[in-house]
Amino acid sequence: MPKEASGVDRLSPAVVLIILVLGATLSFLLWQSIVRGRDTESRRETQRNASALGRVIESELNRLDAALRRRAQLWAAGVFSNDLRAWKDSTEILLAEYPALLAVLRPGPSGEIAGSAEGTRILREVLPEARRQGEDAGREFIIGPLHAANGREVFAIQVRASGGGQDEQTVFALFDAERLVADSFAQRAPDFALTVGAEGRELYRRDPQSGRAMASFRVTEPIALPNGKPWQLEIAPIVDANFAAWEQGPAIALAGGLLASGLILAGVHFGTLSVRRERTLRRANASLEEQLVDTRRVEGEVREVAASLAASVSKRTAELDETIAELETFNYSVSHDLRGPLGAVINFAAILREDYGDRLDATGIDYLQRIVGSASSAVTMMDALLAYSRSGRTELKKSNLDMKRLVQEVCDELTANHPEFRHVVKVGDLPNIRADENMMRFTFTNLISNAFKFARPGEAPRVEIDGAPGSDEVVFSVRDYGIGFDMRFAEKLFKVFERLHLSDDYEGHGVGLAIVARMVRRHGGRCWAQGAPDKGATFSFTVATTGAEIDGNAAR
Amino acid sequence: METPRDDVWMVEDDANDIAVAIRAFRLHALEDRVRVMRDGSELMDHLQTQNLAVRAPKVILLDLKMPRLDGRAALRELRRRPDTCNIPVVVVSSSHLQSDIRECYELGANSFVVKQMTPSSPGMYLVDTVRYWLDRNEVIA
Repeated sequence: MPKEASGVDRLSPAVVLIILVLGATLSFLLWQSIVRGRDTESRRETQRNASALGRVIESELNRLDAALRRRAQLWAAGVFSNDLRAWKDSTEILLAEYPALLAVLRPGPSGEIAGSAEGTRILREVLPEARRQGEDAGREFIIGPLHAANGREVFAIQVRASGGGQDEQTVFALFDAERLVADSFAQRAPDFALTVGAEGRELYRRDPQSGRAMASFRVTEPIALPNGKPWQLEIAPIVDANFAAWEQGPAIALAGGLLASGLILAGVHFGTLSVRRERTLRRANASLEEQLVDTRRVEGEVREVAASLAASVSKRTAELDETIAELETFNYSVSHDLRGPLGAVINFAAILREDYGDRLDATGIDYLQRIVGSASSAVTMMDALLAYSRSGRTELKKSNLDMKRLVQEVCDELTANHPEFRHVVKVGDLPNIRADENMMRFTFTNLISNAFKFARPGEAPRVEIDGAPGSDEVVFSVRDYGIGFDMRFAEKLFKVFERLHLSDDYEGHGVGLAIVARMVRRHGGRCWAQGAPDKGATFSFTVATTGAEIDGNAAR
Repeated sequence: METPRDDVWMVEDDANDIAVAIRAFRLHALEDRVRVMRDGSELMDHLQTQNLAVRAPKVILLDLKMPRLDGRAALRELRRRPDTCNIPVVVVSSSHLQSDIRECYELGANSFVVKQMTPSSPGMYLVDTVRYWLDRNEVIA
């Protein structure tokens, strides 16, 4: 049990590690999918922007192209053929309308150029090159980039127009691509890093004012020119503060993942804890239940053992009873069988004396007397033993007894042959009891006759009989003022064949008190004696009034 | 006239008791009226030889403890037979157990006498007993 309890408090390191790694991985993957979604969205957004920007530039170029083409037609129609002034004005308007336009070459042999000083100069400078390139590439196109001596890169637009029977007119216009793009974006200026290139050359670059371009999101969009090879527009979104926060993503994700893992870990920990606690509790319950079952089983076993003990006790008791009964029978039959031979001794000694007594002298007669006396005494002892044996065997017949009358009757009986003793017994108030009349009679007969027997020599006996009721027993006492006894030997008084006085002086067999004791015990009582030499003796016994009654055998 | 020795049948196995009894009977001139049998079987054998209708004993003294057929069985048999069921039977036993006494009366004994041992005049109780059954008691004719 303690081993399991400690297991509840700690997760194994492997589990912790697995949960952490899993948590981190899962959060990272989640983060990745979010980022990928965002990237896709960004890319799409950038693409949309690139496309829009491309269209803007295309439309600007187309507008310029269209404007120039209209001029070219006007010029071809000879509207300004002779009116330099008008052409110039018209061209000025065009230049004002399109700030990216640097200079326009008047068609025709005059070779006049309208535009800014620098534009005019650059046009003059790059014209031969433009013409050459134009010749190479075809009749109508945007020519360039052309490199001016001052390092500027420009484009030329060549527009041909014919009509009105006049010669074909070619309009050369020079424009600043960078300006054109910048102007295009003026309407629409999202914060992008962008470049416009043509044939590998960078026509226009705009770097972000803040932050940096994200190369990974760079999108290339072709810009279709009205004539000529397409330009390339490249744009990339700028890493702004918002985006920068995204860049912290992996760390945040990892941190979040770890936090989540921690939370999961805690959840798992406490979950397992509670699960384990529950399991432990359940196990404890189960073990308690087992213990309960065990206890019940032990209880049952104890009960069984008790029952078997009781059974064996009652069996033993029955066996003991049987043994005792056998002993009684043995005792009886021994006494009985000995009576025969002893009887023969007595009888033939008597016959010898009666039939042949005249041939014996006094000593012979004395010996005969001794033979008879001894045999008679043996018979008497056996009779006493039989009486003792019977006292434990006869059935207890209880009835309500008037004890005062019973004791008085016993006294009368005992003094029938000794009228001089008639008034020596003082019977007090005796409580009435429920007991076996014969046994009570025997008991008082024995105790009172003992009192008579052990009176002080030469003195009339004095006997006082009293009784006192108690809560669950009644105490009777028989007091005499006779020779008494030494308390050291009090124990021996109630034992069979124990005598405290010489048999020559006091007849008796030492069985009477033993029988009394047994009878008293059978009434659930006890008996005892108090006395001192020459100070008299008091024999007391109790009789239980609570219905306690001891089985004959147990009382033996 | 036949010898009157068959008036008292004494069924007793103990030689000492027989000796004491016979001495007592002799001293009191009853010796000739007593026939002694040593156990129940002998009693039954003797019964076979007797015509009880003509002459029956005036009393049977029956010991209880005997070899072969004992006193109880003999008593039972005596009471079972129509020709003996009215003969007085005195059980003479050394037992004074209530159970023995009760049993004997229940079996049909007419009297129960406990064997006496007296320092004087041994067997006198038997003489007294026999005299009663011979002189005082009337039987069914």
